[in-house]
Amino acid sequence: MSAVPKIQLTSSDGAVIEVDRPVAERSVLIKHLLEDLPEESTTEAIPVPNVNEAVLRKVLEWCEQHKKDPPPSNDEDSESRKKCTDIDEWDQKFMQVDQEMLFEIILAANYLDIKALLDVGCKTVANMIKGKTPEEIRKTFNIQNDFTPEEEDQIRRENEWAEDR
Amino acid sequence: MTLLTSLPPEVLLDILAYLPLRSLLSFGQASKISHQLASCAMHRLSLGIFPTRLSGILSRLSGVSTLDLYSPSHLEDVQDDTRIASIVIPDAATLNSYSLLAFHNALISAVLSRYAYSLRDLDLTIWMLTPPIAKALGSARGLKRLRLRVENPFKLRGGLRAGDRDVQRRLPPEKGGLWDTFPGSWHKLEGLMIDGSIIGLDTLQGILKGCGCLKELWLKNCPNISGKLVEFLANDWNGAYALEGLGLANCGIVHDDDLEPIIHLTRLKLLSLYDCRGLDNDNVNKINKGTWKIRHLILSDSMDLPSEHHIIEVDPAYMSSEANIESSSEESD
Repeated sequence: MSAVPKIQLTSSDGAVIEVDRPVAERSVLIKHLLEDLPEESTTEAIPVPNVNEAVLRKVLEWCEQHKKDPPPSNDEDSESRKKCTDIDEWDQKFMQVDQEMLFEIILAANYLDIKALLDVGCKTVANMIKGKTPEEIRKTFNIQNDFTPEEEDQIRRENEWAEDR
Repeated sequence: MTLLTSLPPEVLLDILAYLPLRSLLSFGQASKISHQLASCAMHRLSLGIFPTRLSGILSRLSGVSTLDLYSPSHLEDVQDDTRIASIVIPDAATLNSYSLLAFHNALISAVLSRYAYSLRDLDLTIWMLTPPIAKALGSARGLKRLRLRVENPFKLRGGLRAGDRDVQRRLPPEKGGLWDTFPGSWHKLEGLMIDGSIIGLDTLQGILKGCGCLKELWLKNCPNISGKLVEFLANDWNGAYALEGLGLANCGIVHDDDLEPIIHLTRLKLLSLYDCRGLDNDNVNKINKGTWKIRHLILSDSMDLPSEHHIIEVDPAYMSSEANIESSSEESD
């Protein structure tokens, strides 16, 4: 029986995490890195300087769950992806984390080039914005209202065309 | 603490791309930076002004059934209904056509100019091309897909009644030459659909000369566009090798001979000549089988297509009440 090859990743805070190579290869960045490395040096830990241990473990949990997904295709139409904000059940549960963690996962997915995870993260944030008033959006994301009342009023009027009548 | 607005701009634009129109605009009202982001993220928009709610709905239905159904992008695309603004003019019946037209011009040109630099995919329904709209539309230089439908609101089913003798219920004649604003404007176009325009062959050719990467060209109800267009596309145009879909529906006269150069459009996968006058369909079918070998060829008699004369039965009370959920149970009876 041939064992699944393992590799090691080092998080920004110095933790070494061992993971199945195909799982880590959900990250296009790591995949390309491994392809470029000579065979014998894949036993050394790969540094992931932008991602801390907690976030890296979380990201790898997602990669483990999705390791059997078809690899991302390059020619996919980015516009058609944009039209549906449905998220599968496992991913929804996975994304039930505090905002800090959610944004860190998105940043990590962006850095590690894990397109599908980045999409899930973006959809999750989009769903948090959907249907909210400007004030609710400010409250949800801790955004400071830096408009003067006049500016605010003007923008509100600018947007009237799109309101339901 | 990582904040939403500290994410990289390209990620934020990805997030905003998922938002429906009203949520995107609400986000833009939250702060100055969110306003900038929301304006940049207005890539897709479907915009139209209608005198009544019913005419808006009917216009969309007929637009979908005849314009999109057999275009290549529709075959791949999911219908996107999240960025639609169908604007209904309140009390339109009490206003004369000049006031209505002024409202139409002001609103459409204001919205288009505001997002001119962000728009990539625009579905626009106008009553007629007017100078402010032509100017705003011409400045949307990043457009990749444009569907432009010109519809007279006084002739629409479910629109305003033309019977009132006291009020002029018609549009002034369109100023000639307004379509000449567009040649040179849209270099990035990949899909162009024009429906119901008086655009002339020269002007259209001028527009196309700037669009070497056009994959789809769809013309419907454009009486001044004839079969002569095909010769230009095949022989005098730098985009001939990119074009994958061509539609000429109910335009000017198309003769069998006009179609001969189609052989040079080597990547053509879809050709629609639905409702074309002057064609011998059997002959065209024969040529396609023998020489062109275009995968999807649509001729008037080759398919049971819904046409303009096809009546969509809609109970006005049902539409105006908007009680969709309650009414759907009655439908199943």
